[in-house]
Amino acid sequence: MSFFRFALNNVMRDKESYVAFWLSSVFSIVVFFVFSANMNHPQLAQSESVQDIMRLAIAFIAVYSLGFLGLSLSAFLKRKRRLYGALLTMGMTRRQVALSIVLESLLIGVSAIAAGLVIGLVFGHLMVMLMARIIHVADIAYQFPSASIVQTVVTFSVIFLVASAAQARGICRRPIVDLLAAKVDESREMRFSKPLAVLGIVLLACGCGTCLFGVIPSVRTFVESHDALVDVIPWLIIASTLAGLFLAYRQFSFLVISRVARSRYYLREGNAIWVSGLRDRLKGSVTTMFVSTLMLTMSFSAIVVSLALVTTVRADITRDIPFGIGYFSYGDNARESSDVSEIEAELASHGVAYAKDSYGMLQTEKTIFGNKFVAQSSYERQSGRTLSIEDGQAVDVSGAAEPESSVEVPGGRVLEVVGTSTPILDTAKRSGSYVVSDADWQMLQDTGSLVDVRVFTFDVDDDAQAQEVRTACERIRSTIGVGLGDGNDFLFIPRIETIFLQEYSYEMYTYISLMLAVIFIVASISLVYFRLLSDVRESLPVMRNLNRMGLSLAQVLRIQRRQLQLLFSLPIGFAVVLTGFAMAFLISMDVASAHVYVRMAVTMVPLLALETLLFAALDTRFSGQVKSFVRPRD
Amino acid sequence: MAILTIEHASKIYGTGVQVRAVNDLSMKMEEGEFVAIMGASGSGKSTLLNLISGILPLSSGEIRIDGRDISHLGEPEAAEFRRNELGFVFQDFNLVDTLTIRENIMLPLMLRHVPPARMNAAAESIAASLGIGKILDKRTHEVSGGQAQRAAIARAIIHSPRLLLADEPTGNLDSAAAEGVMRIFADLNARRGTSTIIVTHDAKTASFCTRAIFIKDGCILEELYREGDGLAFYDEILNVLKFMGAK
Repeated sequence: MSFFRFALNNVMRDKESYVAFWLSSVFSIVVFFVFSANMNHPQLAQSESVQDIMRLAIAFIAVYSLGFLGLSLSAFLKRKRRLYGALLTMGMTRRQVALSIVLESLLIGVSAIAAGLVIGLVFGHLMVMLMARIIHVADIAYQFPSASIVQTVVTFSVIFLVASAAQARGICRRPIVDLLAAKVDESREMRFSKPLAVLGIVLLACGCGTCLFGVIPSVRTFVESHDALVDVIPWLIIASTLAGLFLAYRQFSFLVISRVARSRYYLREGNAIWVSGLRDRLKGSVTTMFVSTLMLTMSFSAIVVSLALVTTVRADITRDIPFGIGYFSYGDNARESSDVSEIEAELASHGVAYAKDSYGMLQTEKTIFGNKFVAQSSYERQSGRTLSIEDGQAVDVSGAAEPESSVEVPGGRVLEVVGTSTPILDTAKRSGSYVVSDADWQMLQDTGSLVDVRVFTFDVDDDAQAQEVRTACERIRSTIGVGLGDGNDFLFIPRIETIFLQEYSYEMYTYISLMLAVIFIVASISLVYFRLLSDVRESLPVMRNLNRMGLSLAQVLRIQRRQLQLLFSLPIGFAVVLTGFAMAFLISMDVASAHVYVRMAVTMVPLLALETLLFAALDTRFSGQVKSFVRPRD
Repeated sequence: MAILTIEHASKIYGTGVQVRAVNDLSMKMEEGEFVAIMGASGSGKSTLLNLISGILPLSSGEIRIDGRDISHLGEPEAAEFRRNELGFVFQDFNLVDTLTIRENIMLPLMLRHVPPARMNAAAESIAASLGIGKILDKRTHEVSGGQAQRAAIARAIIHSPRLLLADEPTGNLDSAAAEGVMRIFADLNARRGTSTIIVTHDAKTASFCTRAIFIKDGCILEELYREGDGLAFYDEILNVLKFMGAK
């Protein structure tokens, strides 16, 4: 038999072991190919941001695939160590053994690449069209992705070759007696270390606790006042959570299992079987659960965040910019009248229905900073709210949580701040904005020491008429220019510009993160599947004997299911909790609001339902194996 | 009193091409008997053991253990019956390698929810009587084949089963260890009156029993009762085996 035949038989006759790993590889290859097709498409390539982000994404997938492949191959080969030991004993050279390992892995690789390319070619253009829609490129042409095919084949061939060669080298460097040795009792390699357990808890608490820094105002203020700290915090969270989680998994799983093994529970029914099995394979199980937790956390976080951002972007921006279109005219702006006419003309010519309003505002300086004062009547008309303000008083409309108690105005006067109300300015300008009585406002204007600003607002429905409003605003922008930035005396602020920009970036983020999330979920399932499959195979004779000794089939299956439940549900549980902390971090960083938890709950329902279905499928599969093994043919 | 009664038991495998593994077999075994079932590979002896233990359902006939018909028990009832009334010893020991020898021996008691203190006391007492008291806290890969099989016997008898079933219990042992294990079986039978059935193809192993039943093509071909010493019984068994081979 040739080496090729030998390797082919090894793979084909153990398809059950390789199927999850193969599927996981196919998913990675498809996503890599799709990203590469986006990057190489001539029309999409004109967008530098698409190029950059896709380049980053495919580099990430390549690095991740190398790691995942190394981990999976290591798990496969660990199970086959004795076989390789036997082959070496029978006279096979180490070079031949290495060759068979590499060939085996390349066979999986070649078939996965072929399948990935076929799926990629079928769905690739669809995904290119989707990206074109996100970045608003019309009439995207079909381009045969020859460059992407080459890129995918070369990248993944190298990845499979490097990973398998490294693993083969590891196997072949071991002494034959080590390879032939009976399976290692992994629990003997582990000892409970109190310092490491405490360190694990401290690091985990530190990582998760840091996510909540925004909850405590004083801590939040301290962090926000140190830019370096803001930059370091994400890395601090990631590093301490990773290290803490690994130490906690390792130390506490050992501690808990050791405690259980000494309890009465251990000696009841067949509990000793699954608990001792888990204890003996603890090191491998801990690694599997840790990696699986990380992958699921990344997937869940990516899905929740991207969906939350995409679905809340319009509401968030509407809260930040309370008007559809704003034109702020500063001082003696000579273009005011013509610009406002231009805005009205364009809106009308694009069929955009609008309601125009204008009011005066006084500012301490001709920038977006400084204090701003609006007359009570103007504010009430704009906001639809009624305020009660006496002369000498002011109402803070900056949106600040803790407003000042007074505000100084020209003429040496100090106005008492008597309350807060809804902002009418956009987030960039609303700081230091106050509503004063009409008499005070007139008095302030009469001092002549404040910048006179005329604000024109155009109430438009930029949701129902999104495209019309956007086109009209693009025309207006091209006609009147940027404003203050160009040395002019106005600011033109259409809300739709910000909405489109944010939707663009969030949809692109969603596009990438959902695909990566799918890769991670499949990879996580693949890891757990292989671990469970190995465990089930090893425990089949034990299960059969338990049945012979008097445990009913249902009892045997219950014992088998307990281990499966633990290995499957623990990473999911941790991943959900860690995703919650990731959301808390985003809230602390003002990237998301508390509503993200509602989105998280809604998103988690289908994800957890999917995981439950997978568990049921695996349970059915493994139970079937146990049943057919335990019950002889009759 | 008969501990085991088999009447016209048949077991047919397959749906298209049918194989009659046990063919209209009838036999009786008295309480306290020590019986060897012998036959070549594929003769139906292991199938017979699986039928007696209720692991395989009968195609026809009836099997009674201690007067109870086990032929028509449902799966949970059959499991409970095996848990309480039978003890098993397997050729490859089938000790659970993630458990210690002590835990392996206690396993049948764990399945019956016996309090831990009683389990420990029973395991220590039985292990001492079988000469493995000092290896109770060792793992299965740390003991010899003979010690592992003694542990398997201890596990099979710790709950004082009505009937002890052993499938090729010396198949994986060297001759010295095999003899040691068979002396234990004989001793258990003599001292405790444990009714025992051993399936074997080894004449030396069968010579420790009080009766040898020879099976061929699913039927009983011959039966021998031990009347003299073990050596004479061994010769008689060999003669029957020669005769079976010639036939």
